Amino acid sequence: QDPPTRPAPTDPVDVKRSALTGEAYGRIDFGGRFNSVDGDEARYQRYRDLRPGIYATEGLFGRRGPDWTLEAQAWNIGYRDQKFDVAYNYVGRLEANFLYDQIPLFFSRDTRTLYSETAPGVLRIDDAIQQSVQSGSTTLRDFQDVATRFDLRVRRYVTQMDVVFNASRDTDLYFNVRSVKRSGEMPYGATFGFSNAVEVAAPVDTRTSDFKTALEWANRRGLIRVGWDGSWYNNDVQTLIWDNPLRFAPDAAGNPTQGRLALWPDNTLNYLHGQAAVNFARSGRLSGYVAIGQGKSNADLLPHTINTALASPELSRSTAQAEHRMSIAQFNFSMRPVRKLSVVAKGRRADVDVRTPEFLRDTGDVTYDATLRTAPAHASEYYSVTRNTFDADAAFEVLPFTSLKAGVGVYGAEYTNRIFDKTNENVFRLSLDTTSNPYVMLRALYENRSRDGEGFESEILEEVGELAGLRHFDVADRDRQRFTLIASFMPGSIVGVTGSAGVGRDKYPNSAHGLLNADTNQYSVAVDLVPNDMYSFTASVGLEQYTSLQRSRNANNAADQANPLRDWTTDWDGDVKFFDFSLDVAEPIERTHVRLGLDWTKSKDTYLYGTVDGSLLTAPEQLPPVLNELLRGEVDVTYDISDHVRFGVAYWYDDYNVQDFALGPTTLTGIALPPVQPGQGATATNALLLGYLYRPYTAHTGFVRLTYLF
Amino acid sequence: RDLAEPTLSAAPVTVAVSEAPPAAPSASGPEGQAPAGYAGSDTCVVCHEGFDTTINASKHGLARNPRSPAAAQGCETCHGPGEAHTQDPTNVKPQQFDKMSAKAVSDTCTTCHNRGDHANWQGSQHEMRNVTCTSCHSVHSPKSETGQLKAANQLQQCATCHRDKVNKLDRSGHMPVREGKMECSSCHNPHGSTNVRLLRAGNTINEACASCHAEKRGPYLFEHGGISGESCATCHDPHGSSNDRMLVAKLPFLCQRCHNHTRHPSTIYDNRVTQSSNRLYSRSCVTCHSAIHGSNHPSGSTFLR
Repeated sequence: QDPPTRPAPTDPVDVKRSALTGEAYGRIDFGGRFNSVDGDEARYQRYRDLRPGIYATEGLFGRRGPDWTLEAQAWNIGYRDQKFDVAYNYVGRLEANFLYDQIPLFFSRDTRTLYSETAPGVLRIDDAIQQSVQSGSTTLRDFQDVATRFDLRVRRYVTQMDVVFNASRDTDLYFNVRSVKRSGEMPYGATFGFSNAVEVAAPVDTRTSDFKTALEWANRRGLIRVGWDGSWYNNDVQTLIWDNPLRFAPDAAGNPTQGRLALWPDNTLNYLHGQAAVNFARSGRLSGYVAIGQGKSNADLLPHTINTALASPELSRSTAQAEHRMSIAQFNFSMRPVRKLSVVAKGRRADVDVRTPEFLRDTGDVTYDATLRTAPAHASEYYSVTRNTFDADAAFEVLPFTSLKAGVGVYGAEYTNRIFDKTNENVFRLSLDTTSNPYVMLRALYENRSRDGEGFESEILEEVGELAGLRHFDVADRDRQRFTLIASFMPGSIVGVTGSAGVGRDKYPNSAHGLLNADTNQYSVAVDLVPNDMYSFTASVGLEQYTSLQRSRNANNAADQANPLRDWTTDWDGDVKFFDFSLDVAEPIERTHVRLGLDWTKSKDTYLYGTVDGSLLTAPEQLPPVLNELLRGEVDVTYDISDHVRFGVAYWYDDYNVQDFALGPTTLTGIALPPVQPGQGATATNALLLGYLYRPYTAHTGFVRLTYLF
Repeated sequence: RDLAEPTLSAAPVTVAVSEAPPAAPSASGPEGQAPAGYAGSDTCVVCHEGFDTTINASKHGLARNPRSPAAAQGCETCHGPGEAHTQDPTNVKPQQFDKMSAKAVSDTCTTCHNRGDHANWQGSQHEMRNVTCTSCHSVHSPKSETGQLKAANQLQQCATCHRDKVNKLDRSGHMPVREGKMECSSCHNPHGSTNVRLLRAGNTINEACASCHAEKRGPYLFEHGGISGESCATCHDPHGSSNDRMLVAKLPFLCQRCHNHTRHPSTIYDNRVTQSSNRLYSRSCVTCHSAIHGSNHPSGSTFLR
């Protein structure tokens, strides 16, 4: 007899879950949370709400009858990340799932601003501060201490309902309704010119409503599915108006006292789609999928500027009239002509056709609400793209559990208004996969890709003042090679060892500037050890390396643009080290379970500037490296007081260290920058920020909880 | 029959099914009896004690669903007829999934799991890499609360092969996966999809991302080449990065990978200007180009408004 791989459950919840008795079952997990955070509390919490206090971390209620099941769960009730889920299954007829989920995003606990929101989307600064700064008697830095301190956060409120109605043995009807409200504030750039930087807390008050439905017929002979997906995005604050912190009254030059920008406009997306598949002999299946869609946005356009000192150019139309039309058609053919050979062929055509009428600006435009350009400005340009891909693969079972696969792909893309009219990419791949073998898993993949463009149009770059010459790494000529290897050895039931390695090489051989190459190396080793029923141990350690080289040319005029002695490079060298382990000890003391866990990751990114021999540029002073290190430790101990009551204590240790030359407190020493140095004029201040920084934190979090299982 | 009884330890049911799985008989036996060649689940659990309990806790055990194994031949719906095995347990074995090829396992499971999320398994990336259902799932010994995974959760399961992706979740810029608000399957359908990269929503990478970030899908009056109709992953690493906003490289270097415009885009921003150049500190390029995903402002051609 083969022993059961898993004994029958003894947990009262699992036992009742397996019985169709109609009796209620569930668990309630509640207790207290205590924490101490030194440093950036917001980044520690980020997408969670870990405030101290009494909490109910999880509740489960379920019942199962012969022809129905019901389960309701709740997490973190009353907190910002609370979640509720109810699943009902009228067996063989209906499955319904309701979800309510709050997802917080906590940016900062101590952001400060001189702005206050006087109306939705309208941010004002005290007139006296503007007047004082404009007069030159003060700088913004003088007002840092009077800036209002506030929590910068945004939250999603997800409400979702999924229903699957089993109309017949083979037919299902799907409904999905989802509404996501997002509200709060987020950091946003809102400036008045090249030497000015203003960061504001942009109000967020949006809702996305999605509705999806599909009718599906499927059985062993094949499948037919038709459906409609609709999505509506509504933003209640589509315009942001904010004061210029440096200017209260218009000056002779017409510099703005306030700015206005367009936040995200309302939009819609609709798709009709259909899929059909037919199964045939030799495990054959041919499936086809088509979808046609339309994305639209027709918001009213703002005037070119809010600055009344400037004569705002006429709008060539009053609404956006923006429209995308999408069409996707694909097929997938797979078959096993002989027992050990599998073949697959796939083709796909995806077309995004931008139908937005060209937006003309023959009478000019306005930059930063500050500069009126009366000469005709560039009309809008749109980027339609059509992608055609074809892949063919054949896999042969060379050994038991082992498949050797070879494949080719031909990818083409056609663009409008990109530097290439077309790109073509040829792909070759070879993989060996040993899976399902109880002792060994071996997975190796080599992939070679070569992409070339056709119809390079350097004038697209030159007409907007860019250097001539190929770049734009998403379409540029590229040679890519990838190799990955994962090997797992399970010599016995008590131990498993997995090693993995990955090497990637991207080269852009014909790029004059921009990204020239990007390489990755990844290595890791993991060990799983289960010597007996008492101990379970896992650990992994790894290293990842990322490098890239990109080139630019410092040039302000045509002569400079032609001078290679003005070239410079950025050499990115990044590495990430990680280590983690977990140890579970079952019943070191009777009825007790202990879990220890640790996660550590450390990254270092260096951006090294380089110049050519004989360079005309001033030798750069190198930037310091960017460091990120996160250590998380966990101890969790539970004690079963009885079959129905469990007591637990847990402790988390979190330590995050970061050094960032752009976002760290060493650089961003206040919300007004730069700090006024001796000898500088009072108006040297050019930035008013929020104080949203990357800073370290150390957190200790403790939990005491009681779980009742019924 | 009394449907209130746990199903797999009951006699085989006689709910009519239009299609039988490959291992199942074409017709059921007389009422209350196993058909020819089949032993019945009651017989199985005499030796394989406890299996009925674990199965009954899952949807496989809901006999009222005509699509479930419990509604057909119970254990033998998946493992094949077992009568010969009961007569010679040592030498005659039913279908044992840990000894079957990946393709054979897939064939068995997709007999029923041929719709919805599983409709595109055949020919999918995972299937073609010799991955099969039992690579990730265990019907009898799942360790996860949902999904019958062989690991405690999706992250651990997916990390078996995709450790590099899972590790990125520990970077400072990440989506709320390690906090438990998302999981791998929030974006990916590992069983195959009609989108690329096994993405669950939409028909392109952008549409998958915009299923949550709808404000960035446009269309806009002014659009950013390389974003419109293309891939968010050109600039963002959705699995996480050490850079703010999950960018694949730090600003301004990322923007300078494409933009060599005269003046400020082609300037070196070195350590001398960390505290004085708004093109380097804080939000860097998007200090000014804040509408970088697209703008509906008539003067927003360079995404300043």
